[in-house]
Amino acid sequence: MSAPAISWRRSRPWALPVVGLAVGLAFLWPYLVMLLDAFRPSEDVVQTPPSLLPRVWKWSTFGEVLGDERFLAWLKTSLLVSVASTAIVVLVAVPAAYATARFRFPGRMAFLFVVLVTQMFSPTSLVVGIYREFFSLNLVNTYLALILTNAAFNLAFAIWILHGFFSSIPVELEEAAELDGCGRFATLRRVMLPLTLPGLVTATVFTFIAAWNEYVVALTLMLDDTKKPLTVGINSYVTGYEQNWDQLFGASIIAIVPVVILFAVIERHLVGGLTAGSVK
Amino acid sequence: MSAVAQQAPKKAPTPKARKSLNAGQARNGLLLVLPTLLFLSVIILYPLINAVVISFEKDAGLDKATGMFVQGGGAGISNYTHWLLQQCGTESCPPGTLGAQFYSAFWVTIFFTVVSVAIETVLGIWFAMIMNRDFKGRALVRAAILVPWAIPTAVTAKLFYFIFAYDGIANHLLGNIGLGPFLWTSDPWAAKFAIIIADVWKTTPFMALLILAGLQLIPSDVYEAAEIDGATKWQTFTKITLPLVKVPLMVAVLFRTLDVLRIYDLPAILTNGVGGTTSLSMLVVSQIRAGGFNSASALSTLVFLLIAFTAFLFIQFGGADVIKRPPGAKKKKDAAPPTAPAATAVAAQSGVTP
Repeated sequence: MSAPAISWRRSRPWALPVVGLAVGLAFLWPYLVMLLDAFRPSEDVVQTPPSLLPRVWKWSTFGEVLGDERFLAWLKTSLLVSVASTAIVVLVAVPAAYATARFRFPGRMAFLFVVLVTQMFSPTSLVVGIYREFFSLNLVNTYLALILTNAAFNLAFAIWILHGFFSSIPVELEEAAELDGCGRFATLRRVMLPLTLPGLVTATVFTFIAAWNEYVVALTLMLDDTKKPLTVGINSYVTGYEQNWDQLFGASIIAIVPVVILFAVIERHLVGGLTAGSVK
Repeated sequence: MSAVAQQAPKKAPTPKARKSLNAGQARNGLLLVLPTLLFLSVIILYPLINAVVISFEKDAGLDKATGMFVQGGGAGISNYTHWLLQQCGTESCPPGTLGAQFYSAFWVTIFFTVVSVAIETVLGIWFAMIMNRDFKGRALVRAAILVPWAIPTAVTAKLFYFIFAYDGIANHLLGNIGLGPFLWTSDPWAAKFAIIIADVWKTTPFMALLILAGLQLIPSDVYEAAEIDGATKWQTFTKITLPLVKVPLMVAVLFRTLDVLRIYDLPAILTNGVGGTTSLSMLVVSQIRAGGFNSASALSTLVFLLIAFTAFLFIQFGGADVIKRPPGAKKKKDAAPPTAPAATAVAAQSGVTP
């Protein structure tokens, strides 16, 4: 073994954690900045030179935000829209991904491409067409419009990722299930879905987060202040007339909570080795 | 839809064997993708086609001869030559106008895409490998890594706007180790990297989580076999892990690439285009604000063509087997990676990825 390899072997036990810690800190410190900004009066956030720690501590921000009826209304919209569009995406994407991974039918590849094409147009260039369309359907300013749009925007990713997962499950497993008397549907439910749980979890989390973060369409479609989702609503904390940076960052931190809860609930399904030794 | 979709039928594998076994597959398959098709055509394809159609029409405005407000009418390809050949009316666009910024926006968008996606992929793989180990507090680490992605982009951009202010925290910290101060939001290079840093911070979790999900599909017995054969960690990584997470990895890289090519919020809020950081999507929005909706549609169609071309390259030369793999290729071992015996074959085979 060469000299550099030996010295690497020796330094490895402490070098890797140090580098890992540095990268971890680099990723974590913007949260810290955000949290500290929520605990100081708004004037202190913009005051120069900036200080890492608040010059004046202010503890009431989170109470103010949670007591704000507008904030609660935005939170409700975000939750409703994200949950509903995620449900639609999973229900529509699973059959489509399964079909493209397992069945041969004409236009299968064209289908996957068309799905991908919907991801190639910037939302900013679609939003006018979407507004016109919902306007003619009398759906502007409704939750339904926002739910449908978010679902459509995220279908492509869900289908592609699930397609990848479905096609990587050995066909032998399905054949075995069929031999044991399972129908197509039972095979999908009892064999395929449990095995693709990591993919399903990924698709769910990503759709939820994407819907949770959607901005341009919500800005255009939702006219009532109380029907806006969080992403659009929290901008009214900082406008030309009033600047409440503390509340903006406080609201942003609260807005992370549902995502973390969702992830904590389904994270345990991101476990591997489910197909280990399944086909010998 | 344009180039990509037309290519599709040509590329389709045509293994027509075993007709009897596959009877009904066509009907079932079409039935299962039907909801998706309906959904996408109503919500996205319609406005999309709408955008393409109006890109061939003139901007509505005041008629110079009569002073009346007129609807545009056909414009041929003049909205496209406006951007591509830099033609404003009959002469070339003067510097400083939106039209003249096309090529700078084009290259800076490509630059953002290549650099961010490269960094995100490397960091993402690394994070995923860490999160894949069994350790105390793993759920917490996984959730913490996910959080930057859960913060709305508008907020991320504002946050980094404060961090990268001239007397902000970034310069303060770098000053402690004798670097800087940098003009993060106006110096051409610093501004580009400020955007890339913010983008990497926000979207590495996306990569990491997708790759993590992909890692779950690798059965542990493959690793055991490699260990018995005396493979080094690096060999295990390059010959087993990478080839076996290739499909989810390529999907992640593809979608990230398409995403950065459309980048808007981050540069818009962080630098507002100062220092040559105007991305193509920002140019589209500026053009809409300037009232040139039809030429803006032409520009977004051009962006679409660029993205479609990139996606085509990816599928053709990168993670091609995302789609090419014949469905239900029964008994063909190398088509089903995560079976233990096939894994080594796949690993050996894809050692040299095109």
